[in-house]
Amino acid sequence: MAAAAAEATIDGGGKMIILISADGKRFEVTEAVASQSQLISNMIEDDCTENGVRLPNVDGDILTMVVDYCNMHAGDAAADGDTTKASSTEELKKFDAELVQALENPVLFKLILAANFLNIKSLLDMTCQRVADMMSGKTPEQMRETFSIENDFTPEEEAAIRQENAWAFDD
Amino acid sequence: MALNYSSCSLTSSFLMNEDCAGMMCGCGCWSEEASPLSSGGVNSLWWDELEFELELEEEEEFDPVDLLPTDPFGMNLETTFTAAIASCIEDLTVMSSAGRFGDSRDDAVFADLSYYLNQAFVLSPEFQFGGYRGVFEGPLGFGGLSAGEGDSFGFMKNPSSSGNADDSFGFVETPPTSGNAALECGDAVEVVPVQEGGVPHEGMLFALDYLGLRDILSVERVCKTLHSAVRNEPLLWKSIHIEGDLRQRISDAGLLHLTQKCPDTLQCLSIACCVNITDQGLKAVLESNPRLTKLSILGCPRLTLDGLISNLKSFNTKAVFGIKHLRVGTLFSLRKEQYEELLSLLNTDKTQEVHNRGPRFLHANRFLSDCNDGYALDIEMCPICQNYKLVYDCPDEGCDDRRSGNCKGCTVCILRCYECGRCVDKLAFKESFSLDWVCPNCQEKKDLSPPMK
Repeated sequence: MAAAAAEATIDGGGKMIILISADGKRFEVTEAVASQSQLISNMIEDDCTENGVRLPNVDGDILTMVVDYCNMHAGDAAADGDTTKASSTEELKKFDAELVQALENPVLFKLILAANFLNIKSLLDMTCQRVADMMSGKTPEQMRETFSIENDFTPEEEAAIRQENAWAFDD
Repeated sequence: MALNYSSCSLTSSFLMNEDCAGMMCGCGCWSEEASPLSSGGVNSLWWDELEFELELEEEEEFDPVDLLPTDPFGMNLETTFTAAIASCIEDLTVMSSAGRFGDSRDDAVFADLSYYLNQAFVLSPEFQFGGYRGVFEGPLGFGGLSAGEGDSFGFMKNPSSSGNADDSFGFVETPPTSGNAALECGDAVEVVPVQEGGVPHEGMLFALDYLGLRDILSVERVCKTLHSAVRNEPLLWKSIHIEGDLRQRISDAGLLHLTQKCPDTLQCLSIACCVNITDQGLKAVLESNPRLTKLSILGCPRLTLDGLISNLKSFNTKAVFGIKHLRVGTLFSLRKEQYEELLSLLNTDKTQEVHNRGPRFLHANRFLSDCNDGYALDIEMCPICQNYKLVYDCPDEGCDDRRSGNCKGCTVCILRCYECGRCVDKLAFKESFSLDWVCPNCQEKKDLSPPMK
């Protein structure tokens, strides 16, 4: 059945690819959408997507987001010369911003891992940049608070590192 | 409540097991709170007396635990030591009655009891403060108690039951899961409080590449995981550009520390405008980074030409490749011999280099200190005044001299627009506020464009 579905074509003429998440959820996407992932793109080239692509590292929830993202960005490359491109670029930006802004930290990190695994550079850049923005300009204490990280240094270790980097900070 | 059933087996167990007794005593001393038995009607905190009482009571076939009210102080049992002990006892009883220790191997019972009690006292305080410090090795903070391979293996006679011990502990309601099982099941991460005072998520490490130098230094101080992640990521340290106000702050020692964070990786170093770096500091950095191939020392006022030459000489004796690209900017005024010597110290293919050279423009150079413009050394002989300086080409397509190759020279010989870098000799030009020249075109643009914020 999976094979049959994978062979099915839509009006656009693109071949459909089935993505299967770790928890068994299935997503049917066009080849253009899926091939934004370098990993899947390579699989398509190698012709091994017929029975669906199993993604054991990616949960269904996360894959939903990834597929949404890829659907939105599928037109990116194809839309050159399109007169509506200017507006759609803005829409995309808005969509991207909303996507990463709304995420809780753990989900954001999982999305990073998924983007890295699937090798979707633009998504990886965007999510990592979001985390970097959250870290940027913060003191170590604030970072611990933001990301719920425990300080597991001994006071001596902490003092040593602090001393080493003291030149860069005011405190 | 299960406590009531547990009495006989419990007291006899305690009395027969010295280890256990000692441990209880220790637990009692640990915290005043940790006196579930005393709060429930036993008269003394001290184990000796307790034991004595228990002995007496056993003789009289009287069980102090029967006197225990369900919740004597109206406390929330789930969050107290009393609860921990109660759950332990309860579970032990349940297990015993369920025939889990049906072969009456007393040793096993004691061992497990010890294990539970010990776990209870070790873990309970941490639970209340939400810290699982040191319990988890991996990057995923899965499970509080499900990762029960804790500190108390010493008490375990049968380690294989550690996985099963978890569910009987009373806090975890899920079916028995060992640490490994939790890992396999990806969703376990969501079931338990992730990152409550835990280690940073694996995904966080990907974001390190997107941070500036100062933020990286902050990240290094957050926790051990991030510290080692920063130190062991060569990509972060392959190329170091000191920028912003760090240029005023960095000292010789700071620079040396910085270049040694990930030893043997540094390839490109820019200390442009670092006012505190001396020849000695640069020497130390060069000595400890034999793989360095690109060096920019634009505008470092404390570096001297002699110092640089001797540093490069000693560097070349131990360098892997030697310096291939050097940027000195307007730092020195060189004589011919000095220029030749400096050039000879660089590891370049002289014939190849000329072919790779692109044109250089005044304005562009400010941002192109990345050593990728094909020049080994940024200064060269000005064709007009014969001095060794930064020499610029003309960007203006319509310039007659450019076509004939004559519009090439240092900033003294050919005046150039500060904005676009074109020659301004033959144009009506204006001197700007900062005593730089601006050509009419750029001036016009400047006037039209809104003022910079």
